[in-house]
Amino acid sequence: MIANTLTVLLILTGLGFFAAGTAGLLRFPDVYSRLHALTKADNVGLGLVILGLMFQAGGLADVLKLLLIWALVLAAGTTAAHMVAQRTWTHGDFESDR
Amino acid sequence: MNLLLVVFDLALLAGLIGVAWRCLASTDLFRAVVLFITFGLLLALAWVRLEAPDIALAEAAIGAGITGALLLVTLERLRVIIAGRRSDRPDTVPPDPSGPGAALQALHDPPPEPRTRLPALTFALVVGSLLVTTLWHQPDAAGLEPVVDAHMDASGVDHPITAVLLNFRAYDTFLELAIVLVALLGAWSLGRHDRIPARPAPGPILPGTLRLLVPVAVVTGVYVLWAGSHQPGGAFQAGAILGAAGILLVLSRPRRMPPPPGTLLRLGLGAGVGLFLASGVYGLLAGHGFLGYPPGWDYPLIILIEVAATLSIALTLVALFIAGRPEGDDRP
Amino acid sequence: MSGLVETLAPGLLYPTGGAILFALGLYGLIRRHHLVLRILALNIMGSGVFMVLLGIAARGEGPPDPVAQALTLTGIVVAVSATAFALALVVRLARLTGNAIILPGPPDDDAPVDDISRLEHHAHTEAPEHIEPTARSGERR
Repeated sequence: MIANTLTVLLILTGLGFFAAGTAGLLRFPDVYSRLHALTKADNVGLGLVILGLMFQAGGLADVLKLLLIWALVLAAGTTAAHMVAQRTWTHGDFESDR
Repeated sequence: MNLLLVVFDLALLAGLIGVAWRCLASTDLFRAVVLFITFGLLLALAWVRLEAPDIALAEAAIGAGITGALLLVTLERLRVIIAGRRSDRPDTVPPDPSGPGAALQALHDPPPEPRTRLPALTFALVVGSLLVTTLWHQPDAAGLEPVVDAHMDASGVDHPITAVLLNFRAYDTFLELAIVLVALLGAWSLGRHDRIPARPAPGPILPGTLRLLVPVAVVTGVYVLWAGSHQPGGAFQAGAILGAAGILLVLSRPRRMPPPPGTLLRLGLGAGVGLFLASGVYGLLAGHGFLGYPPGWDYPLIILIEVAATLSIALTLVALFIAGRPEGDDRP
Repeated sequence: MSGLVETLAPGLLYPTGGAILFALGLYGLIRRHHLVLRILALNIMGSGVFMVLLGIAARGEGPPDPVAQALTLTGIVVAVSATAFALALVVRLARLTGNAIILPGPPDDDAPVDDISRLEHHAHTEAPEHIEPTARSGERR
């Protein structure tokens, strides 16, 4: 019961962060601030969702798998954001580029 | 609770249709491709909702990931080719910017002419409504699920989808592997290996991450392959994960592609089909029918074929991404 | 309310969505001219077919029919191979004719197609020139 409540609370908070990140992606003016919104807010949001799901995990193996997913998304997301930012830095904004 | 799920379904379908519409209506091809990748990810979510995690895994890895990479690299190739030709011989470009010359811009597709709107719309609407009417009036049927369940004991594996793929309908899977191979042969017949138009990324971030990610991807691929015998997973998903890792490696070092040893590469590409065919012919000769497994040998044979198929699919996906025969390989 | 929920069960909702996606892809396939967009339209049609298949298979209790799932899995892999082959053909066409668009109207048989061997040569020598400037601009910063 407590686990379920915690799960719901954590996932709802995580979704709030996701919504904030998405709002930033849609509303912010240029690539850098959009990346800033996405990487910051979504990483925390995913972390909270994963944490919430851990209370539903069947065993240690599931918890470790969830942690691995979190770590992988963090690594991949960071790298992708870095590449996007670097490309923007060397080639200018995407819109004006094409 | 059910009502919430209906709301979720409606929102997901509306999102899918909206993204597909924006993708097909866009005049900028880069935008269209990015929207298509988004479409693939939403589709994976729909498969999860329909309780088909195997398909969601394959859709996310193949439909969104590898197809997206293929599309993006093709756009870059087209840009290089078309821009190169224009600067090469400006006389081939029609001078009138409002005429058909404007349509020849490399990565733009002009909005379609209005005169095709009505016939196309009518046709699509008729086809769509016919489909919907048929689907809504389809009688309920139990499908093949009971049959599969009844024969699971004889299949040699515990996961029904793997049982269908590698045992009950092994013929389909065999032909599918053959199609994948034929697609690669078709791409190879079009010319030699093309330089991948990616720019090497300066800085240590990408190589560092890859050093971390690729081994994890290999372990994940092998795990997904092994898991396929008793839970969602299997050769296709594993092949897609390994293929994605290979594509990442190729992309990260576009300047110095390791020259693949020709014979080894070909052996790997053909391993899935070859092993499948060998086991099929053996089954035929031993009296179990084509692609039938000898009793007691089904589990090891399925695993063996799956390993070979995973290897072949991964290699083929990377080769399709590179497109074209390896450099310096002039054998027919 | 329960009647509405029953009508909108996934077994009906998703096949309908799949049919709409199929029609949408068909519409795009007819109207767009750029070959890459047409390949995207074909892929969306294919996804519509998968959705119809899985949606129907999801009727009733429990996970969808494993045979339908296996078929869809096979279909996804075949779709990516066919897409890759089609994209290779588009690149080849662009190399031969200089564009990747098929405009409506009868085929123009008089359009000049250059000597392939010369183009091959070009394709291999000009690619680095397009990469170099961008790499240099990165160092300049």
